[in-house]
Amino acid sequence: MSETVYAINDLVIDLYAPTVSIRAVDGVSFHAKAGETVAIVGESGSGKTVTTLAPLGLLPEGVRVDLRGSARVDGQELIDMNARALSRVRGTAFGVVFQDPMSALNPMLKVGPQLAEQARRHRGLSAKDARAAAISLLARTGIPDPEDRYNRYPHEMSGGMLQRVMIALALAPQPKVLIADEPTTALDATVQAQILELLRDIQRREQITIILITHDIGAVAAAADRVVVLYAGRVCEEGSVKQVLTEPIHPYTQGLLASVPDFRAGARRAASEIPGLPPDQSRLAPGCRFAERCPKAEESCRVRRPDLETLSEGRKVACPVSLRERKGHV
Amino acid sequence: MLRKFSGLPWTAIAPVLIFIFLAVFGSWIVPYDPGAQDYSALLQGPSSVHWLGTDYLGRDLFSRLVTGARVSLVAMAIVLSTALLIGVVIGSFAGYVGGVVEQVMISIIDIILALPSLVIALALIGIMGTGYWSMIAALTFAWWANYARMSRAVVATELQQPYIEAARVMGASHLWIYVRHILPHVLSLVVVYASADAGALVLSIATLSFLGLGVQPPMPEWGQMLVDGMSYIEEYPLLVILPGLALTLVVVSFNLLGEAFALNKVPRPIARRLWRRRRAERAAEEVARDKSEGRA
Amino acid sequence: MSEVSAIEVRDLKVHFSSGSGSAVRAVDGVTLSVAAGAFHGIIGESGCGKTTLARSIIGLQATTSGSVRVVGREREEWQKADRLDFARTVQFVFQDPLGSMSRRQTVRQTLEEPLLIHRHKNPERRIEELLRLVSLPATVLDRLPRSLSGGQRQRVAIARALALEPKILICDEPLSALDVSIRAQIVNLFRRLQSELGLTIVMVAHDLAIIREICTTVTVMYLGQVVEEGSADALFANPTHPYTQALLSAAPSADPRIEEGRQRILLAGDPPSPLSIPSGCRFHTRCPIAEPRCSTEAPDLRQVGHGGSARCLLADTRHRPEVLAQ
Repeated sequence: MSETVYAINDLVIDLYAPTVSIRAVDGVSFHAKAGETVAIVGESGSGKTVTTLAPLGLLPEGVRVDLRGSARVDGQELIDMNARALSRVRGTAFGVVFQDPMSALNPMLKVGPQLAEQARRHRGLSAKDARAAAISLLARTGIPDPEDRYNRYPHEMSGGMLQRVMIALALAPQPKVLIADEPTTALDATVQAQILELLRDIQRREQITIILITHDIGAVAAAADRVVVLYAGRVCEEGSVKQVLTEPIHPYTQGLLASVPDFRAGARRAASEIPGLPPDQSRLAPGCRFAERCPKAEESCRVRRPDLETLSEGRKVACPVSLRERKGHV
Repeated sequence: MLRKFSGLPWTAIAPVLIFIFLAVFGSWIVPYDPGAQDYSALLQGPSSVHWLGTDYLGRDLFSRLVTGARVSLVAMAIVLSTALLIGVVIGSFAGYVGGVVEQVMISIIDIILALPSLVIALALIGIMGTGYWSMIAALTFAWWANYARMSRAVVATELQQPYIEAARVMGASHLWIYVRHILPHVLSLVVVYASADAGALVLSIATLSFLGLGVQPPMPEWGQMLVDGMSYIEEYPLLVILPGLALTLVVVSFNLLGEAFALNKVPRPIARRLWRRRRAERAAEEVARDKSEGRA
Repeated sequence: MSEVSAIEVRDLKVHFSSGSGSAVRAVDGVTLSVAAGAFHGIIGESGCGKTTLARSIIGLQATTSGSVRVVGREREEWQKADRLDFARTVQFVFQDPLGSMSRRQTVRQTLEEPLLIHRHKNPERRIEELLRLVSLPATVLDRLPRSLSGGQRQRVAIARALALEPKILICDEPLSALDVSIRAQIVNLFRRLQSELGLTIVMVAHDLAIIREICTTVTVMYLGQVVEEGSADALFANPTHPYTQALLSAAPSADPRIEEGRQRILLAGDPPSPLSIPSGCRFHTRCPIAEPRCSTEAPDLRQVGHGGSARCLLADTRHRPEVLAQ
């Protein structure tokens, strides 16, 4: 029984700018165990990026953040940590892969030394050992001819290769948790497949915990074990990938899956749409956030916030209407 | 457009407004003909008869000052509008056509800009001779290059934007695109600059007139009045103080006007806080909106 | 059956000279034809030239050689002779809806612009019609593009493209910048527009699932060439070219049961850059079933089993190379 490595509980995040305040995350909880990949799925405004990056202090400058709740990695509480301690934890326990591979690399320096620097800093290796570690990392992320690539500059590498370097960089400090924020969105289809396969591979070999932030359902199906579906800052559904993707219960999840055309599910069928738009998060109504677009919404939905109820081990849904339906059918 | 005027430092730019008012309505409010000499009232101090006194020829200083304002403003307006027209047209053309033509134009503009405008004006006046129109022509020639440079830069930048391509796809002619999409950008940049530039121009006109190379007597002009009054500076400093003060106020005021306009575009120490505020707001909104736009 | 096809591209080449003397052969001899009323998809990865191709058809990109005929007429000559008339026939939807509209213009001004250029008799009424066509409320008219959502912006861009009642619409990745669930809305919009207005639509995209959803005919491109083309159903059921097979294999299913069980084709390496095009068959460096002759012999497009054609030495009407079976 693997233990929980990263646990987020009742996370509430408010973003403040002088004229607008937004509750980006409204009571989100989820746990990730060692050796499993948890996908956080959502669209614009769902809060998926803020949920994962805010506790680590990785939000862009100038945004005032109010963080409440708990985010523990390996027992250590991240909320309320001071900046220096947070930076240390961030470096040793977490590795982050961003959507844009160029964002983590210095374009003026060769790739290898940047990797080696990471390894040296967080693992205290000597210069020679760090170089060896960097080359080994490059090899482990599937980069051919790692000795040669060590001496290349970022601009000499393709998008897919850069993303691999990013992953290598994230793995350099031997973190417990790898956070990948839309790691494949900017890549070509065939390269996406490679990267997802690589993530799967790394996880199997190193038993690392991966948090995959994405809006691509296909990536979830291909690379994740469990999935948490977010809408407007709240969790609507959670469960194993198999459960949620084959039998979605929450109307938003159902709508989302129905609107994504499945390549293999056969020829032309009308993609069904979720009508309307995501809510304006600076002016939120009480009750369920999805109510105004929900085909099953009742009066009570607009008044009372739905609780996240547990159906079975690890399977949670925040929709009393749907759950009631299910019980009726069973 | 009106929104731009909120938050302008009205007290600071009041001199400009007074200047313009006087220049436009001056001839109706001056009590005396600025050229009228009255030997019975030489070098008199301010009184109820002559509000600001008289000069060494008995001419009413108030009337001279006000008329001088008009002369400066008219000259400045002529030079500025002509330089703007020439500059924007040439600069836009260069930016639009591109290639070798653009490179040649840029070189010419750079050469002109490398020399101080007053030096260029002086050289031209040296060739053409002195006189009001000579001064106008010389200053215009020295002044257009900067506007050409700015226009070209704006045109070159905007042309690369995708919405220009969209307009071409719709069948828009180059003229349509220029007038509807690019010219507004050019004008907003140029107007801001020109409003501060006006002050420098007034000063240049005064300088040339001071040197005797600009506005010739008997037309009153502040720079000219300055050089006139120099001989009397000990006994009757008012002859020098008045036009000097007027010049200073107007030039500084124009500069502040230009800076006030520029606050909308370029962050200055006071406006930096404003700018940071807006940036933070946008960042918060973006973060909350979870910019997950793919770029495949 | 001699209908004039909507778009007819013959041996089109678009070469860019890069500073060091070598040329970037972005589009290198593409021949394709789009039938009137078809919904044609062009797929491929970065560097394959699909965007350059789309832009060449509409005239945003100068071509090096070859011909582009639209409804039977040579595009270049037509545009030179009567730019406005061409614009009334073919229109374009850009990938970035925000960038393709002037940020200083309201929606009304954006929609008005084509109508004014073409001196439309009743622009207000046409604008109302357009909003209805793309299901946008009249309240968007006075807003600026940056205050609209991604889906709304794209609708405005589509409305603008339709303002002149074109017969042909060319779209360059119109869905990439949109949220996943909004894509469904726009896909349905395209479908409805096509049936209501009888448009011919050419869509450049990289999302295979969507192409499969709505396209009737498909062209697959790789490194500046067409490697496979045919009717969408037939092609997706029997992908012939190994690259097409790999591309299709790379698209993950949303169904984890299918996803877990299926065998995947994983290509080695990244798409090569158009600056250094491999010899022989351009795909041979990444092809899982390449034979020695593939590196020396450059294949032509030839007829294959599903009725269309493919550019592979190992494929013809009787044989279909199966990558996964190897």
